[in-house]
Amino acid sequence: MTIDKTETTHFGYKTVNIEEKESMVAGVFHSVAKQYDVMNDLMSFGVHRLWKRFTIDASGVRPGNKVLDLAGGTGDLTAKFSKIVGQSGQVILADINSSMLQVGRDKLRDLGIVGNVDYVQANAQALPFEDNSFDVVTIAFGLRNVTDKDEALRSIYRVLKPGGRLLVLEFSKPDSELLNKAYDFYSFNILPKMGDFVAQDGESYQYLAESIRMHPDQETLKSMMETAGFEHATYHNLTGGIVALHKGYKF
Amino acid sequence: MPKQALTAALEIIINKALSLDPDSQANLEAINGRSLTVNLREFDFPLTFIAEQKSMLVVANNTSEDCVLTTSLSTLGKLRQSSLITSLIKSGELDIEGDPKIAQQFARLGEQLSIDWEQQLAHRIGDVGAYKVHQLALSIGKKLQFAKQQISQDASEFLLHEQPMLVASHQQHDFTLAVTLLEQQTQELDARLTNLIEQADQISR
Repeated sequence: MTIDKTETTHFGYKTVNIEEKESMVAGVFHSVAKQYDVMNDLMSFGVHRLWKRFTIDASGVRPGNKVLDLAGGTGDLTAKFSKIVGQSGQVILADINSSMLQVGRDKLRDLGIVGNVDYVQANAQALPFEDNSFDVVTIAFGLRNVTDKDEALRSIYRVLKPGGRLLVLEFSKPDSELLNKAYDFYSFNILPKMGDFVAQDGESYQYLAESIRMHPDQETLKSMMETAGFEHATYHNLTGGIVALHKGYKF
Repeated sequence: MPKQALTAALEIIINKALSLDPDSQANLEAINGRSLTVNLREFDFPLTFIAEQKSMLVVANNTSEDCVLTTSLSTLGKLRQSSLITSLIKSGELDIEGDPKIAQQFARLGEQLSIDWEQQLAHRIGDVGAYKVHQLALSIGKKLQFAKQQISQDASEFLLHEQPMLVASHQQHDFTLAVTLLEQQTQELDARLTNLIEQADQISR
């Protein structure tokens, strides 16, 4: 969807070659990995924890399920999924970025979460798993960084078991114009400064704001999921549409 | 996301309370990996408590395969008395799916929670300060208890004697006796009338 005929794609507001985007996104996440959790709490005023809880509650995950937490970063979702699926289940925390994966692995081990969690460095566009492997796949705040989102959705569809579901938690388009303006002001004026001050990395947070604006809106993402084969695709706006949770099934 | 805010707040409170009572670890370990789902009639969503070795996870999802309780907030308090459980199930106030022992183990974890507030306070403001605050809290607690009893007693006297809005137990007893007497007299009258009607029928033939 984001790829045009000249084999370019978006990196925030910049247009870059497809081959470049992956390494540029990797650069951003290598840079922010260590401050990722602190910045998430600061930027969202802690509300990201409620968005993630909403995703877990909507996932319908049960004991014994096999879950793929794609672009799982520092493992917030994996930590809770691990407790719900229990020792008879399995959670795979996958991320394309080795630094994020390392931070996630260290954090979960420090929390004593071991036994039913595995760590895999994987590209969402070419998942290294067998067909029909997972009951649930989640991708939280990761899809907008993927170069070819359609290919990633097809790849996720392939690894889901029949009856399995995908949950995409991602920044989206606020449903009120007033909120949109306030959100724009916050994203482009305050967020990069916050990133500069706390993580000494304003550029990465400028990219974050731009990448959110370039990400497909609610309806577009829903139709992309349907095109990839997902059925009963729905979405639920959170915090006025700043974030949306999309859900689709493979039957 | 009020559900998620509620589960997050519950989780923080429960885990904080568990961390303040070192003796709760044994009870928590006994239910490690077990879960309990509570469907409260007042809420339109389930609450699931999942026990871990050192903490508790709370989610707003129906995930427990161990035990599911369906009840109301008012009945929840009665569950402490295990002798009442059968009658609560019969009256439809409580429904249990799965192993009731799991529910009892979760309840025991809450009941046996004993936090030494004075010691916890001493870590923050020192022994002397904590002792004084504890004594003050005990004194205020006693005064509040006395005030509660006094208000309850005064309210009863006011409603019974000054503004007779309620009936005393002896008044209720007298009323019940009068009703019973009236019932007996009505039955006697009914019998006499039936007798008279039968006699009148015989005479008319």
